[in-house]
Amino acid sequence: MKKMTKTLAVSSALAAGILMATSGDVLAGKKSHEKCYGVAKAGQNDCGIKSQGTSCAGQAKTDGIHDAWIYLPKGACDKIVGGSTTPTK
Amino acid sequence: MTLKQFQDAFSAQLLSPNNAHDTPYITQSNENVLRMKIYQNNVYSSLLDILKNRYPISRKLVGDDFFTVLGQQYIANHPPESPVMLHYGESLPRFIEQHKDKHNIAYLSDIAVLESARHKAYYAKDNDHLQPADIARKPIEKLLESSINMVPSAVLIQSSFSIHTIWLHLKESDQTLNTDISHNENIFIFKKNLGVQTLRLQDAYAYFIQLLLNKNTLGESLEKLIEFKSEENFEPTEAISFLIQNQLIKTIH
Repeated sequence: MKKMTKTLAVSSALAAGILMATSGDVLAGKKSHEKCYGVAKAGQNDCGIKSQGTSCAGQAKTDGIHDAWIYLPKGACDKIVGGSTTPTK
Repeated sequence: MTLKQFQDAFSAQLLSPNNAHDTPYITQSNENVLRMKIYQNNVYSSLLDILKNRYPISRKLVGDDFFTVLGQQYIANHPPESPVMLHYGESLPRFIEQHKDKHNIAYLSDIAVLESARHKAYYAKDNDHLQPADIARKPIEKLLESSINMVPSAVLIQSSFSIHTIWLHLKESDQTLNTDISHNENIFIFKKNLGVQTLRLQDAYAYFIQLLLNKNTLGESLEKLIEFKSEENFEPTEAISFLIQNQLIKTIH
């Protein structure tokens, strides 16, 4: 009987955990993010700097390169001074 | 003399700057000795830069001078084994641990382990996880008997020191930390949504994750977690949800 209760507790914890994780849109992942140009700190860009001929993350040499970008939650970029969702000149 | 023998002699001379080696075909003229020194200097300082970038907080802890000496000894004993410099310095934490008597900072190697794991997670593959919908589709009975593979970036560090507190403090500040650092902390590092997460975990979470990393099945791990109950108000349900929401499950089998 004790074994039975334990199994029940374990499987309901698992089922409830999965349900908890899959409901809502917390898992939208990358879709909830957008590229934000011009605000990346040196060495902290996520990817791609055309003007510097590098395509790799973390290679920005100075702060705020106009075409270096980082991922930010949607909408956040427009609130930052110097931030743009398209590469600026 | 073969090319291989020449290269071996050359690299032996390159890596131990203070020992005199005779490299065949290089006459020991003043000019050649100077040129070799310049080359040596460039090799050492580039490799040292890599170590400084990968272990900024460890460097802050011991100071620049000590870190430079430590780095030079590490470079001489552990020259790069791969041309990919991204991987260089991975064994520095073990080197620090082996030379404990020289720095007397008991938690230094744990801090280096933390920094190394963050570096690896940063460069780990993106979106390497199983989609939540695919997990939800599997029958519960099947899941209970399955063990999971976590994404490769996931590293759990169980330290006997407060290394998360120390690391967070030094990241932001140069001041001395005036708190007790002798209580243990669990740090969990992984990549999520292109960023590196560095979380401090409750003992129960750390216990559960360690069970899963040791390939216990989900059922066994949950059962032990329910028995563990170290913290009040801890819900095993939340531990499952934590795994899925943080995109930690790579495969289930």
